[in-house]
Amino acid sequence: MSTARDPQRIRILSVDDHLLLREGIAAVIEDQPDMTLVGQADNGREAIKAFRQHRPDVTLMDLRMPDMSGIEVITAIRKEFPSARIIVLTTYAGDVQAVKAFKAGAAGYLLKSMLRKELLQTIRTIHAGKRHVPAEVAREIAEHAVDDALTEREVEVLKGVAAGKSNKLIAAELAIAESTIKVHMKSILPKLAASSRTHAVMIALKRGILDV
Amino acid sequence: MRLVGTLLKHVGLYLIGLYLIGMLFCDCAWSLGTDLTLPQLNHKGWSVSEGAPREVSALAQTTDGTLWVGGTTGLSRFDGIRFVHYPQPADEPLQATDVSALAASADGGLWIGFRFGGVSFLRNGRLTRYGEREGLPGGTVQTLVWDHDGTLWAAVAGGLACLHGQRWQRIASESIPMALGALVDRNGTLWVATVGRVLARTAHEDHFREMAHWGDPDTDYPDYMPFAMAPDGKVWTWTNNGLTRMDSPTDPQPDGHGILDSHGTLGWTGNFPAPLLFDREENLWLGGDAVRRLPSRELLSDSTPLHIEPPPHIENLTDESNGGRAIALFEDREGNIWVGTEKGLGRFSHSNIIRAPLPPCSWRYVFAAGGAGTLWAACSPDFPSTVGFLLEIRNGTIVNQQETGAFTAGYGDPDGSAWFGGIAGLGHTENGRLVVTPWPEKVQMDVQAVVRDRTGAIWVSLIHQGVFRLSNGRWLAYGGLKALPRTAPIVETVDAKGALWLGYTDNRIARVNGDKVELLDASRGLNVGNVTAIHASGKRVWVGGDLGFARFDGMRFVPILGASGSSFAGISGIIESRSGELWLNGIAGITHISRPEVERVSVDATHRVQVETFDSVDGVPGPAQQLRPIPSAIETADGRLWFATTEGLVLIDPSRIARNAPPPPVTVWSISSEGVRYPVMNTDLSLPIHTTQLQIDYTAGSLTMPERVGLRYQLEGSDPDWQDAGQRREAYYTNLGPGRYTFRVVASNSEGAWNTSGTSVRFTIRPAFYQTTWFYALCVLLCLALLAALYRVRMQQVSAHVRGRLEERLAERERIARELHDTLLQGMHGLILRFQAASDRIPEREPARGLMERALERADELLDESRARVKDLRAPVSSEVELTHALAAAGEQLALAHPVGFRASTAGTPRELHPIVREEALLLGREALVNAFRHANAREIEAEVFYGETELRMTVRDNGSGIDQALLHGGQRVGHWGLVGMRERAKKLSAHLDIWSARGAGTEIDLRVPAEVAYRELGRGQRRVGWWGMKEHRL
Repeated sequence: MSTARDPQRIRILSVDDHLLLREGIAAVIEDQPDMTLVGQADNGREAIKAFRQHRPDVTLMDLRMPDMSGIEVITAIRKEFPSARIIVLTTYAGDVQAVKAFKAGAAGYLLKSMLRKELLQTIRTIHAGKRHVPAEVAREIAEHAVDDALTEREVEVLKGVAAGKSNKLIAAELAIAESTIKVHMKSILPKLAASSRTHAVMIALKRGILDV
Repeated sequence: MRLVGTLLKHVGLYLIGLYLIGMLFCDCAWSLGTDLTLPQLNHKGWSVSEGAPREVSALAQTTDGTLWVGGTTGLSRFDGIRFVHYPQPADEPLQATDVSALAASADGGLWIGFRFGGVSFLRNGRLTRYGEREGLPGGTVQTLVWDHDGTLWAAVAGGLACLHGQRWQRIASESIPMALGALVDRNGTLWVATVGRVLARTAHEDHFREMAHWGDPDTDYPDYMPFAMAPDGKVWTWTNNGLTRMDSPTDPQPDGHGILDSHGTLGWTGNFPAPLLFDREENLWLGGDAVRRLPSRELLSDSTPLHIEPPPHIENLTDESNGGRAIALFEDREGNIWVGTEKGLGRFSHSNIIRAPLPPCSWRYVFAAGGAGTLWAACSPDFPSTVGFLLEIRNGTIVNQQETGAFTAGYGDPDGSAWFGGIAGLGHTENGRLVVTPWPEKVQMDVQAVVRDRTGAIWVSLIHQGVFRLSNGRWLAYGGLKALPRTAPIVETVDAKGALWLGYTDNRIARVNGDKVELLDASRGLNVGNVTAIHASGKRVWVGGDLGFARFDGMRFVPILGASGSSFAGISGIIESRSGELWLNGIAGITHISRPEVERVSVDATHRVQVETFDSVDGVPGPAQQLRPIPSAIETADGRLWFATTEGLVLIDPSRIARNAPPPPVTVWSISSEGVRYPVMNTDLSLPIHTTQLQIDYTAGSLTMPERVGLRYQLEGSDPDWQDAGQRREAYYTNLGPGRYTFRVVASNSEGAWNTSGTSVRFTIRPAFYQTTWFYALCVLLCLALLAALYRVRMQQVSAHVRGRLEERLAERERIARELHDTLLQGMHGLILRFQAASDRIPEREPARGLMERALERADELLDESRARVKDLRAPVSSEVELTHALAAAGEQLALAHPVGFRASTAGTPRELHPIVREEALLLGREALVNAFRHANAREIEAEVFYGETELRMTVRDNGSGIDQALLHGGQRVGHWGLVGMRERAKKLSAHLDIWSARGAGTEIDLRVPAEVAYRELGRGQRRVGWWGMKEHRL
């Protein structure tokens, strides 16, 4: 990998905890004359460190990493380097994650299944100062734009439900009353337009409120 | 008497003199029937050592027949057998010990007056006390009497009082400063003795008038003044002024006061106070230093004023056994006269057994029945005296007496004369005189028996010498009969046909007919031991011995046993009376066998006879005279039966035996348990828990012959039958459990006639809590609950286990999903990118480029699909759909290919199922639907899901051809019906799977999954019972 500063080339930082994926991205970028991969990182802290070191033009950021989430890393980087241009890579389409990412300052959003066809173009688009949202994601965001968002506590409750835990257990883990769990569930179901707890979990997974 | 002078020439002169002096002072003109003399009455005494109080001065009989006895040592009740002191533990104590007056109330209670003042009323175990606070005058309560209005009067040292409600009211305190005695006569007139005079008040007046006075009223009055009402209604009193008869204020023609023996001629002075009593047979009884009885008719017929000295027939009996002064007299309801003395209690009662008051004889009398009702009684004086005397008794009167030699054997000749044998010779009555013929030879030994046979020959049994036949003034040893036993017969008699019967020792009897001797012994069944009695003059022959009694049937002896299997012992006298009854005199007393029984035992050798026994209870003074002189039982021509006992001669007049007294009333006195006594009240008694042992005291109210009263009892709830009490007056029970009981007692009279009503007492033994029915029920319930809880816990364990497995499966899926996502999917993305990069380097015209592009497209598709699958693993998309809908969808899809009626329904409120349960149930249901659609040839198929409280139930049924039973039970036709698979799925869920099917009747598949397994969350309000039985809510 070249680290030379070539003003002609788009300097790219790749952040993902999966080596194979990073290698795949590296292989694709390597052949591009206008791009150069300046750094790689496999966790959030490394990513921030690498960004400071290389000041890439475009950063490809996986949302799920062992130490911190991609959203947190984006926030950290953008705080330090407000002009940083970051493209989020994720496996699932989901409006909530996407919205979070954009709010954190991401400039682009790519599903991993689209990488093969759209990675290079998206990098160029972003580098050119534009934003990129895949049509699928854009549609979902539009669909739920007017919905009430789940509160943090509601998400935690739903996370417990998704893990198959009983109300009692969830209450114990969150150190709140069991009856409060029920209150939360009552609030969650209409917000997600879900008919049951399972349904709510399904929707939450689909929309990226919960990670798979 | 006139014989006195001639006695001097005989040896033993002074002894005889004594007899005859005794005869002189004896009341020898004694009559029979009801007019028995005082000594002839059956008398029995009870001393202090037998439980009687000391100085018995008060007697009363309560309505239950109990005699109450009061004395200086307290109060006792007496049932004729035993004294029971009052109070017993747990009884209310009396206010004092020294009882001076008693009166029974009509309601069954008893009034008790005390020497040191005060009155108590005892009824049903409750005691009410009265003293000066209740208005009762102070001092000794002398008498308690009822007037005709039912008012109780008390003659007390401090005055006269009557009871109004709960208070005593002093009456005529001016004129009656002291009340020494009181009586209410038959007209209702109240008589009161006070200082120096007697006052009376009629029922219609309210003032007293003086009826008698004597001496100096300040000094001359007794402590106590007794009254008695004579049969003619006159009131009598007895003081140291004498026996006084008073006019009544209601007498139309007063005849003046009569004073009997005012000078103490009879030697009665100094005995006062002493009681007097007129009995129902109009005898006047007097107490004092002796018990005296006067036939009052003679007193009453006398004109006034009375000055009879001495009264004509005064009887005087000082009772040695319980003697001392007689200080109380009382006649009970049965006519017995009770005498309270200083040392105890005595009873005089009428007797069927009449003692013949013969002059004393130094040894024993020898008897022979003469003609015309005559009884000849010869005194056989004690050896070595040879002088005796002979009495001729007719109609109960000694009509003649003469001195004779000493005789030891007698025989009543059928010709009406009597024969006597003794050392002096042979005596024979001729025209009322005894002619004695000396024996041909000098006789050294006593004569055991003498009899005259039909030939006129006399057979004489001489002790140690044998039997001799005396004929024409000559002896012939054994009558010349070689066959006779060479020993002296004990008894001799002649039967109706003239045969001579000789009884010997050791079961031997010789029957002599002329020269013919027949020896009857054990080989003929004779088993009476030594033969001591033979009765052969009637139509039957009866034999008695010291061991038994038998009948001779002409060939053999048939033993006769009593009803209880007892034999008759020591029979020394047998009478077969003219009326056909048997009377036996034996050791146990006098035994009577009625004519029907005699007839029956004469034809039925196995019959055990019913007998009537007269013994000491009836006044038989002793056992039958044994050995000599015998026979000890004789019937005289007037029908009277005479029995010789070791203690004298008694007679029974069979025509005048008093029998069939009504069965007496019975009373249950108390129930005791472990030392605690519970008086019996009218109400049901409640005994404490854990009471297992009981003593119940009861008695029969018969005072005449309580020993003859039969008693039996039954405790309903414990005794299956009546228990014979014998002479016991208490019943004991052990091991009683809780429950309700009724104790019944009935009594019989001496004839065995039972008083069937008797009395009964109900009581309850309270159960301990663990003995109650509800406790048992509770135990059963608890056991059931425990079993249910155990079952439930087990079920929960199983459910938890199953659920745990399901959760594991779920967690495993999740783990796999995550692995797939994190590793495989991400890796594939990376690889695809690299392949893309590689592909980009292939020139576009190269065919490999196209191949690569197409492979990459396929890889994208595969990745998409994989991603979807991973998502499903986390939470299957289909689980959004309710089970019924899922089944319905499956069914409808099947119905497209198979036109069959299909319906799916839900019962209960659908609840969220555990994902795996739902999945398994759906797969199982789908399998069942497939079977029904494809193989059953059904017209209708339905699926139903029931969300129950305790279980999830899924039913799939069709009306098709059904499943072969063998297949159903074997379930092995793999790949066709899938039954095995269904069962395995059910087993994984710990569910019941029932498959009902019959050829032509369709199939029903019924899956039931316990709620604990099936539902993701237990429903609102659903309860779970934990180990500790507390409710646990889960939401």
